[in-house]
Amino acid sequence: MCTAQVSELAPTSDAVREPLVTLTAVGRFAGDRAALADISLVIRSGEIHGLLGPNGSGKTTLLRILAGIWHPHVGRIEYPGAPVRIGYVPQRFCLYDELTVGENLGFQAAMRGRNTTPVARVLSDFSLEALASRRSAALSDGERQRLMLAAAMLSQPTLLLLDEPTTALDTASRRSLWSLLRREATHGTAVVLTSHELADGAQCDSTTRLSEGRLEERSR
Amino acid sequence: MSTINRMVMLALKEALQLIRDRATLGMLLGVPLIQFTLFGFAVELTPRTLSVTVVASQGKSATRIERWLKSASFGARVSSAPSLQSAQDRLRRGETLVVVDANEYPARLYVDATDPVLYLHAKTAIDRVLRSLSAPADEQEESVRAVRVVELYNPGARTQPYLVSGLVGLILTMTLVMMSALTVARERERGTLESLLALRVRSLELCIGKLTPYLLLGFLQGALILAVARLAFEIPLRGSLMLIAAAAVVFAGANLALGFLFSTLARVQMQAMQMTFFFFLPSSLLSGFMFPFSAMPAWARVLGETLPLTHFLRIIRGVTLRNVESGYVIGELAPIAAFAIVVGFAALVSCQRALRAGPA
Repeated sequence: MCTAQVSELAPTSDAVREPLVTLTAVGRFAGDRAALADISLVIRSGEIHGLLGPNGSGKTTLLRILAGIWHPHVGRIEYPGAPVRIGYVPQRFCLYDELTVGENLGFQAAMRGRNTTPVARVLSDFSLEALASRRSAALSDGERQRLMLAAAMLSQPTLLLLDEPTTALDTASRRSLWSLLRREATHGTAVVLTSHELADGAQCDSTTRLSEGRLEERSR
Repeated sequence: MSTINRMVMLALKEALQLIRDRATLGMLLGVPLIQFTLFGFAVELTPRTLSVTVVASQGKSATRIERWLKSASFGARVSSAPSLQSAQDRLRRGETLVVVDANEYPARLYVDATDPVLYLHAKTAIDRVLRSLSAPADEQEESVRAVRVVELYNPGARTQPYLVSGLVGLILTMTLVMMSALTVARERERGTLESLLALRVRSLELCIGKLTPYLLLGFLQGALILAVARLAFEIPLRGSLMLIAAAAVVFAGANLALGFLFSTLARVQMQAMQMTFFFFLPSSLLSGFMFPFSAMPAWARVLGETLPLTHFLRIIRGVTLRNVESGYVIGELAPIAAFAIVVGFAALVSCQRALRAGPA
């Protein structure tokens, strides 16, 4: 995976961060229950934003709304600047077990159309070359996480969304993941991740804490 | 806790799961109801009527034969044709089961032997008519008793040509509906649908992309079954292979569309399988694959006409055994195509809804 050190990649200053996505009073219902209510949020380029909270607090719902998988039932989402390219990494492994690492990336690249990073380069960037011909079913949790991240990075996203990315990772893999996310943020990518761990929140530039679908606390 | 208590708890847990799984419960109660209805009211082995076409240029002779046929107890539905050619065309299209050529002396009977059950029924009925014309025999009755019976399309009324040719349709229905029913349900169950949703996949892309390999597979499967039928069972192929191929594409499309609809409605693969079974049961019983279509009551025939398998069976048996012309095939393909369009549209709408609902 990425070998850059966190210390070498200092966060970008707030002054140069442009608003990438703006959410205004966003809400979504799950049946009669409000899974998310009255969430207003600004995601800026080059920032790592953490959505924190316990299970069922609405983190995944909010992330899926940002990813365009779900539409908000109330409120609005705006993209003030240039068109946003989104890379999304769900919590659960969502690629195909029957396909090899290379085939999965090839499929993802083809579905994303033009302007994608060549698969060979992504394989190299994420140290997956040796696993290229291995079926995804035979990968470890850490390798699968890396593969999903590699797939998300194919479209050179300006907004990278990750759902509980650190959950199944050991300490070394977590460190490696954070290095990679910081590197991407330094290059101007906005990163939004969910976590229920405070340690992850400490690594973020800004955080939003959710509780029962509502915004509980915001910090920068 | 004792073993008995643990067993009781397991049984209670299982019962609760069963009660709350509406699809399984529906299947457990619904399937016997369907079976009772179909086997009890729809399935008949013996047709109530026998369609007979009489050809006679001499009015007297035709009238006499018609009178004998109508007076017989099997309820013949007698019509007349201006020539033997037109009567045999009707026979080829399956519109009549028996043609009586009264212009010949002694009269000649052409019987469609494609379906051994119907053939046996017709043969028995004719024998009964002939036996009823008992002594004292005058010259006219003698001419009827000397009638010659010609078996057409399936000499010897063999079972294999009828059943094996029909198997092509039955196997394609079973495999194509089942395989396509698993497509979206599998994506949802495995979590890979979330990745497709993030890629902004559209319902039409998903439908065509997912079903194309199965269409090719179905085509290959059909060709394989036909080859085995020809080589192992010596099933004749009297008509055009191209007609069968064209019909198979439309038929496969209809089945895939239905399976895809099931797949978008089901939450998990198990539910999709159950829906497939619900469709497969009436398909096999009401299509004329196992039991004569003409023997079923009117309501069951109406239901049977809506099934793609009913029409495909007529096509495949018509082309392989009776060398039917393309007009007949197109006539039978139209309802299959209509089914494919209606169900395909419903599947796309349902798929859009499923995509909007997002991952589980």
